[in-house]
Amino acid sequence: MLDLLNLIGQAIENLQRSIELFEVSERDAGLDQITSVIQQIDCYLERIDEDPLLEITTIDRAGLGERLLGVKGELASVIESVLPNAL
Amino acid sequence: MKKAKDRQFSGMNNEELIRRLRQATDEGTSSSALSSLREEIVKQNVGLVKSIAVGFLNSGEPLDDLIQAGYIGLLNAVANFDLARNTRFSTYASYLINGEIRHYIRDKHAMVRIPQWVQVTNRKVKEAEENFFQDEGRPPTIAELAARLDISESQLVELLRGREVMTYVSIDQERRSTDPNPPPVDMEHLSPRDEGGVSSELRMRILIAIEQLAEIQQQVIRGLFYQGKSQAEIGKELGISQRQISRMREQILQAMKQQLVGPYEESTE
Repeated sequence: MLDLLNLIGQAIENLQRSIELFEVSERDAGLDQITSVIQQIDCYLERIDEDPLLEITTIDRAGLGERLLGVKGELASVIESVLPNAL
Repeated sequence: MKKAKDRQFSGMNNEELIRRLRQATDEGTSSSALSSLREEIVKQNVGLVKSIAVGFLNSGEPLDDLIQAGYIGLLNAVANFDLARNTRFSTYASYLINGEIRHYIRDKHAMVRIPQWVQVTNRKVKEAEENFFQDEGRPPTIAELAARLDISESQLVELLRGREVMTYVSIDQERRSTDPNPPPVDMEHLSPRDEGGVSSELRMRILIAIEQLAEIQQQVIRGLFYQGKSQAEIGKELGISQRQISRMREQILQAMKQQLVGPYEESTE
């Protein structure tokens, strides 16, 4: 189970890597990186109540969930926009 | 009273009025006095705003609306003008008034909802342009603006094509540095998009996602370390011991440290 900070750290790293991959025309690999972030967010949201980090912060869980879903939606639309060209 | 105020500011140019305004702000002068100074600056530049607004009448927008938009640019110029720079206020204000009227017309004529990534891009480009102008006293070239935004020239050109504000930048640096109302860029001379690379839209949208995640990260870190509450207080609120709080924080710090230092350690091995 990833805590929120680890989730974000890994997600940012993967997204930065995806940009690098797109820039060298490695679209499939770039898409894989984005897909992995979406999966990580899904996994986290399923078990958000188990995150020990949230126990010691005042962050609003419902608001946090919405914001992560917003990020996920943005990334999903990125994939949609790339797929027609990638296929 | 009004006459006394007029006498007080008579003969002062824009730069002197701005200097007076800055001093008054620093000294904590009353808000009514600050308003008087701002009013005087606006009054002295009414003609400038009108003359720029008239140049946009072919947009079909009423002159009064264009002037109103121009005033926003003027007030931004009053707020942000840097006296230490070697730029005349009127030059800086013209640039911002011009930009604000263009934004007004573009927003007014937008037929479709502007996507978030375009809005974010517009904001970043606008800030970079204004900062450059403040620093250098002239509009940036494509290359200079691209460097400030940390993107390639071809990516910037692609962004600007969608943004319809090409009149702010030019590849003709010498001409634009001397012309306060520079003409539109000749698109034929701009390099085409690099089809092999990542599109600017794609890159910007991923960067927005990163930015959103980073904002959450900042919020969590602030919540963890900067709320001014002691570990005992937090523990009491949550019904757990201070030692548990302390251990959790240690783990978090360790994880953060690994994320920050990890790549460098790997690269030096």
